[in-house]
Amino acid sequence: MSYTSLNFLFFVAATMIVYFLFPIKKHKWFVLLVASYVFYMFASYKYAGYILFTTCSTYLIALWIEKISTRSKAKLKENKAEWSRDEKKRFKEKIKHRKRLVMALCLVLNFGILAFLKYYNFFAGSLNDVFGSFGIGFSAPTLKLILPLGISFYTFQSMGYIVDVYREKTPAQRNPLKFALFVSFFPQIIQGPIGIYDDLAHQLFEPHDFDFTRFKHGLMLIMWGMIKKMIIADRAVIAINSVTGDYGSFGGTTLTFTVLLYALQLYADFSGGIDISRGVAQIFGIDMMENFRRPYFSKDINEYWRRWHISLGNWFKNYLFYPLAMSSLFLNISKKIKGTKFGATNAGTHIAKVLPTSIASFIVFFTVGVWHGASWKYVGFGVWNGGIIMLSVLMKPLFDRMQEKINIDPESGLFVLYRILRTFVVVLVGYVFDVAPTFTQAMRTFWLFFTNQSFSVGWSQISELGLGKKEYLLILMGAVMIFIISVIQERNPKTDIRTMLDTKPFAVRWLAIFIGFMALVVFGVYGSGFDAADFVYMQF
Amino acid sequence: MKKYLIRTVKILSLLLAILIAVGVLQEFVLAHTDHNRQRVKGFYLEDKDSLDVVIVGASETYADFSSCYAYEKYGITSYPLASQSSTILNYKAQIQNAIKNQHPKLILCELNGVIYGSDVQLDNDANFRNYYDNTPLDEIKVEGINTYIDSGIATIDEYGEIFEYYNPIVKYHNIWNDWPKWLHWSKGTIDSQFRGYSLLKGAKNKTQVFTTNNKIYNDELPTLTKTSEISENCEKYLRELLDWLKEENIDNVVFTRFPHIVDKTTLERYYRNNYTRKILEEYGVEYLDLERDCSKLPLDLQNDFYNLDHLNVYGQKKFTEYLCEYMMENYGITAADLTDKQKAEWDESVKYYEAYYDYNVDMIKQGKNKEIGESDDQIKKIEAYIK
Repeated sequence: MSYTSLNFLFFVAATMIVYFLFPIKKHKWFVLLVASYVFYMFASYKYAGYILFTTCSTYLIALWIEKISTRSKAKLKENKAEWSRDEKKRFKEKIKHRKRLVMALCLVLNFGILAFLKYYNFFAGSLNDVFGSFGIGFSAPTLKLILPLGISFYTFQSMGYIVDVYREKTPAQRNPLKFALFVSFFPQIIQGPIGIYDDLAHQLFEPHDFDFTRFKHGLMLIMWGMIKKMIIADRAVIAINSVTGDYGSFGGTTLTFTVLLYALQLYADFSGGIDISRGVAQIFGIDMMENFRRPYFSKDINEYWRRWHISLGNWFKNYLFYPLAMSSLFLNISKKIKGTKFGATNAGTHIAKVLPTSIASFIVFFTVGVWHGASWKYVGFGVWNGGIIMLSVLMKPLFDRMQEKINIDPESGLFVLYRILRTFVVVLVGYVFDVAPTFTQAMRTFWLFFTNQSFSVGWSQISELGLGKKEYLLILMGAVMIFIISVIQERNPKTDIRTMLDTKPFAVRWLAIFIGFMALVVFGVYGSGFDAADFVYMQF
Repeated sequence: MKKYLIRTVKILSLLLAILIAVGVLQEFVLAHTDHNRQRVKGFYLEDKDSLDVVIVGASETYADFSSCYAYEKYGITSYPLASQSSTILNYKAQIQNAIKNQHPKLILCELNGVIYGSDVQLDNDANFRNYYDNTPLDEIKVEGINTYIDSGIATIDEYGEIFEYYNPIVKYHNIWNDWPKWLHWSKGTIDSQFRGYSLLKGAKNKTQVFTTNNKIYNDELPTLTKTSEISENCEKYLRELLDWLKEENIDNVVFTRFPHIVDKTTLERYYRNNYTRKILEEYGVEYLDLERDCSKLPLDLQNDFYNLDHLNVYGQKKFTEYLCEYMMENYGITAADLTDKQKAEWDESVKYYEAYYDYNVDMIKQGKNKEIGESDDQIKKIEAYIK
């Protein structure tokens, strides 16, 4: 049941009616749980065991961790007077270690399943290649593995929760059904945003009454998401698929165009899907976090990753980056550099200060890259992004000095525009790894960018990609519309277009909705004349 | 309370505006409009009970027979309620619609859509839609769509696809991308709606003369008695149709096969025609087989066809005369008793038919291969031939 299907709209409408008419107010959340499981079973009933395993294991282990904490605190209290400071410290360490082991068990179990399903065949294939090159006759078997729907998203969300319980940031949920709802909430199961327990859970469990404004705003957000997904992304993907389906046949100009089109398609697809998710949740009175903040307006790659897939970025920041950067291993690196002669220089001080965080950043982005898929091209994607971030942090004083020397006002419009374009190019380079079918093809693409540009060949190839001139024009108009709305929001980040519309006269408001809806009817990619495209991030 | 009332009115007015807009788009702007749509829609423009003969089936019906000429020469009112490559899956609905709207004295059912050796044509969604997309929503349409879905012939995966049969805009909304390809047919159809009747009564021909070096079997057909099976589904739905006619005591349906050129490429199909004839005999149903008896018709096989399966305007004129006289002689069809308004409309159609005939002949003589029907651009060209 795709978020853009008629079935989904009927499903949301039915859930909404049952939810708002449910007679026992405090158990309204149960309607959402049933709806979430119906949705999941409808889409992926064969693999429901995976989500049930994650739910049960995380639920039980969270309680286990909490029990260890409670008992240890009680024991500490009991022996407060008797135990020396050292004994208390040792006991705390012991408990911390035990808790960490239990948490690790949960992480290993759940990430283990994800990693096995995602990467087993990749490693088996790579291993076979290595053995083959040495003439060793061993061959690891490849398996027919299929990723259950939303496994990355619910695993990340659940593991975030278990770390929060371990850190005592949040109490363990005692009601297994409530926890099941947190893991499976249907608007976000396919592609996020990845919720944080403290922010999301209470909203899920609180009873919400029907609110017309929320309903209206939710519908408008769904419509906007559908416009982005169905008019722009699903149309652009037709041309992109034509290229990726026969990648080796296209020249540099077509590939440049494809990567640009991919930047638009990916953003429209992913942010459109998230808008639909957030819009549906909003109807039920639940505010899910924003996942995109106009990422293509970023002035550097760090900023880009703070604006793109924000919930994933936050997850990696909270649960991987900080633990790494703050670990004794990384802090020791800093100390060691400071202790050397080089550490006494300005450059050394800077490096000592930022090296642990930049290595942690590199590891995070390498992981993000690998999370996208089991392929060397995604390793390339991770290394590129991680490498650029690492370099930009390490070389910052040099860049600052260069900027000073050439006397550029960093806030001048032209320089800001240059930085935005520069960042966009860096992002596009990363996208080459996404678009190209293999790492080698990605490298070939870079080569063709510089050696095989021909407007006439490109033009003739582009016009054979399954889209007519009118459709390219439509995509362009869609891109311009997204751009204009993004500029309005960028100038005043607090601006909500929907709230802005609320202040307009009735005719203007409803005309906007009418035009939006009719645009979907006429220009949307749907129906049996088209193959509905899955959301890009659904596959991750 | 007042606030809720105003809000409800506002929401309902928006929904109504959307509904109307979608309806207008579906009917006029984003419809797959071609000669099939114009012909089927044109049928519903005919005054109730004003047609004495309705011909159902596939393309043979509107290429081989001219309703306008039948009226001009014999005063017989008729209409081809047919669509391109119609299969047996459309036939019951075509007969039902003919009876529901016209109560004709005679329904001729041309059996091209039955004599298929496989389900390829039945499985082709377009053959189903060419007819059903253009009929109004009623119990006949619902039954036909359900039969199609239940048949398992078509691959229908989702409820959304079923929804498409009732709301063709879902399938055709991207048709703006093909503009102006369909606009002439759209304009022609809209013109018919405003005029209130179809000018050419669904006729469509090609300006060609078919010739072949292959051996033609038409003279020997009565002696070629070999049979070849039609597809299981064709037979199943033909038998269901025959059972239904029997159950409903509908006795004014005459099954027929219009003339075709039979050469080596279509001989197997002729054997399937023999097989079909046997099924009809089994039911004791009359079969007017003008393919087998083609040699008895006043047709010149070297001049009167535009391809193996269809007559050009020369053949159409001769065949219409033959069929009208046959119907008058055997089924008591006579000149229709019409009101002045109806007469005026038919006379106007005759005027256009004559020009249409001359235009066709002119194009054939000039060697220009054209498809001529009631699209807006073709009507303008036909008008140039009105004397």
